[in-house]
Amino acid sequence: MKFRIAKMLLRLLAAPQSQATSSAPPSSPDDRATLERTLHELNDCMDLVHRKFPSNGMDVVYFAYLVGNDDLYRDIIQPFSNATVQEAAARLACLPYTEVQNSNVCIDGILEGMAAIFLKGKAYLIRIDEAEGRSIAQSETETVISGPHDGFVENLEQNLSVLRRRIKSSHLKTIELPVGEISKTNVVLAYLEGIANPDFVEALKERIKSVEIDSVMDANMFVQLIDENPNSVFPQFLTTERPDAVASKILGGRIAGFVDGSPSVFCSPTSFFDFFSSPDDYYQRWLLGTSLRILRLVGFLITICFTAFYVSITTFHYEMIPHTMLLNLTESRSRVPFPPLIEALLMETTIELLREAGARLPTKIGQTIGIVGGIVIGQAAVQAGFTSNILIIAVATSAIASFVIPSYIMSASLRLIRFGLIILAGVLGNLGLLMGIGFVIIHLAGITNLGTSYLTPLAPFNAGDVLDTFVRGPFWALRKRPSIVKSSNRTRNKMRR
Amino acid sequence: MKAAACWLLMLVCLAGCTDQRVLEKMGFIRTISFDVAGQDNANMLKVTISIPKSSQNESIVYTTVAHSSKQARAVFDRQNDRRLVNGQIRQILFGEALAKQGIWKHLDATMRDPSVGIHAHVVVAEGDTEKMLSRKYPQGGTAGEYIDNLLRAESATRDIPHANLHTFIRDYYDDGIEPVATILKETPSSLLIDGVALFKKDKYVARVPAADKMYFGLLRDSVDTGELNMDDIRMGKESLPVSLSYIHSRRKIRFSSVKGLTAGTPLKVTIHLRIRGSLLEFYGGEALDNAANQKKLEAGMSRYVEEKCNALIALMQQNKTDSIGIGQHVRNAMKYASWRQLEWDDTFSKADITVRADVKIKDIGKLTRS
Repeated sequence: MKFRIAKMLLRLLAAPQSQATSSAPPSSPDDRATLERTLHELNDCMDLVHRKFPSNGMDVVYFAYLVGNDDLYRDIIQPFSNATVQEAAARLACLPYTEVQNSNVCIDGILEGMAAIFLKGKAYLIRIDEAEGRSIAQSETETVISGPHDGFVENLEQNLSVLRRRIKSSHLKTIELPVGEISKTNVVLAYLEGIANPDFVEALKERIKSVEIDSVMDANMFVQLIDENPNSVFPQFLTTERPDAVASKILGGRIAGFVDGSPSVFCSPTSFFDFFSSPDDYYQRWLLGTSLRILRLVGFLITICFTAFYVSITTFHYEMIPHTMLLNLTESRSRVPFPPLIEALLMETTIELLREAGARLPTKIGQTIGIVGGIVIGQAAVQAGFTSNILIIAVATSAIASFVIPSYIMSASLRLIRFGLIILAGVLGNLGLLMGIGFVIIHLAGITNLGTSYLTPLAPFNAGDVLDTFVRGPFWALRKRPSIVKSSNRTRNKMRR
Repeated sequence: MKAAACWLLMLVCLAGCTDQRVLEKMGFIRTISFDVAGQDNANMLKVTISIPKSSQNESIVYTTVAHSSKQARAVFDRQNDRRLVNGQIRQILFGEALAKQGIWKHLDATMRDPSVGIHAHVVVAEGDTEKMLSRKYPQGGTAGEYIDNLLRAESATRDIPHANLHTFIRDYYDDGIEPVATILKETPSSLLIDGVALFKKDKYVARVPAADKMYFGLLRDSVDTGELNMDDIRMGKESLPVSLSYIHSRRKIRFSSVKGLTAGTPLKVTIHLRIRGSLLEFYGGEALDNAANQKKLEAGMSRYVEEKCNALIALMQQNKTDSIGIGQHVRNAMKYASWRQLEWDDTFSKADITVRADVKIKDIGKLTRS
């Protein structure tokens, strides 16, 4: 109920603004852009600057901290300070000055970092904003050994320029869609015309337009607003901070979405297995790339099952343990006062605490946490009879295996699933473990992204795609774009071997 | 969401409500042995179990005399501080006397437990099983570990046919083949593999002596590795011992038409053995790098293998037990209905079985006479 009221309120709030941004109809006299109206709308903003030019009676309004001083001097102060009224009017008639009629457009322009010029009852806008932000640096969450070391930053224009430099094609189209009723964050969809499926572009556009929220802070947050299974634990849009990855996704026929203020870029349509590939796979020889892919899939299995399997065999299936290991394990377990399920949950929680503490703390203190955690968990816990040493191995291995997965968001999801499987294994043994895995697979098969199946190319099966999913085939074998993008232009590589 | 939370809560609360077998609360039986109880209580069974301690070098041995293995188990459970479980059984020992009476009901009781794996060896013990299990051996470890390693090492070289619970039961139920087991004998300082026990259904009827077990292996199946020790091979005039290493053999069974078998026509079977091996031990006087000499030696070895195998087949025919599975081949060549009518044991015992061995020397080692 509350939710519905909030939604209605939002819609009411949204109504006039969306009208303003969508079109500039011949304005009625009462919302013409005038100096008085603008100053009234923006009163009580201490960073607003109102500058008068006595020589020609011109008024200029802008936000001090949004504009660049060089641009301000070049485009406003220098040309107009000594100009007469006729000279000023002649200059304003040319580009880059644009005349605006509507007051809301004028105010939005000022909020975006333009300067508004008022002369003889007419209003003009000129873009003199300055990009603030850090310079391009390597992404800290997705690193590669070899390959390009640049990463996206928070600034949208800078990100788009990085992309344009990589794909110098007139077919690279970009659509701007504002999202967030108050924050007015720009979301830009980039795709290759003639390669990306136009139905997907339309669908994504529609879905982004239907978002009604006050603000959007990050791409990882934004994709949760537009995905098809909002209650699933799995991320459904691949997000990456690497320009080379995004460029290759676009060239593969996918659509990339840039969110202003976020270094992450989302790609669609995404399948589950996209989260297990890294650009590194392509920069290495294909046999190495293939073994890395397989290693990651093994890591996936280990991270969700290993501890659960330990719980299951120590609680129910003692006959599965090799005899020589059995006696050691029994001796180690006999000092532990808890049943295996509680023991495993305790240790997994401890590891998660360590990981979370490491993520929240500055790097320098994070190292201390690592050492303390290593000693406390590695040695003291076993010596104190708190856990068995085999469990330490299982927990540590599954934690390490979870970090093998290139996407941090996916690896966090998998770690959560692990807890469910551990509980099932502790209650029903291997039967429970397999039931749990079955549930996960059923759930995965049910997820869609822009209507495409999450488990492509496994279901629906596509032999050609398997070459670039579970393995990384040699480039001469990767001739087609992935089937998931449903592209009309599927050939990407015509080279004969 | 609420439903999911309910499920989760239920799962957490239910943990521990099922038939748990938490590791440290279990006593793992590694070896179990069955024997007749002796003269005064003829119907009783002597059951011994050995449970390794977690220190690995010691084990707890319990023995009791009971009517059935379940009864014995109840007695052991009353003594042991941990719940006894079958899942880690590695050897099932049967005393010789008991094996002659039939072992099926004891095997059956063990096998029905789904936790028992296929790695459990079936062994016929010559000697007192209780003493065998409670003794200390200089080879180190517990008796169970010693027996396990001994059998594994031996069957790895294919000196003895694989005789674990799985193969034993398979051969027991299968038509046209009879199960076999390994014979273990106690010596003052160790245990000794003393041949292969031939069963007829579940009754121990004959034994292949240790010296002949390799020939039995050749007859029973194709062999990928092993060693053939031959005592006196005739080579020209001399008679000398030869040993063939790393042998590789293929067995082929040919037989006369199966028509009329049910009416009593005798069966003619030929077993072709194709054996290849390295000659690394040779004490003869004649040079071996001579092709003609090698031929002579090969002919002598073939004749020797044939003689040995014929003797083994005679033993099997005498006991009417087809331990090498000729019956399987015959069965596959005829309709099942006529196979059912056939008295295979009689047919086998009366069959005319010849062995044709073809021994070839692969190489004669590094040394040559120049």
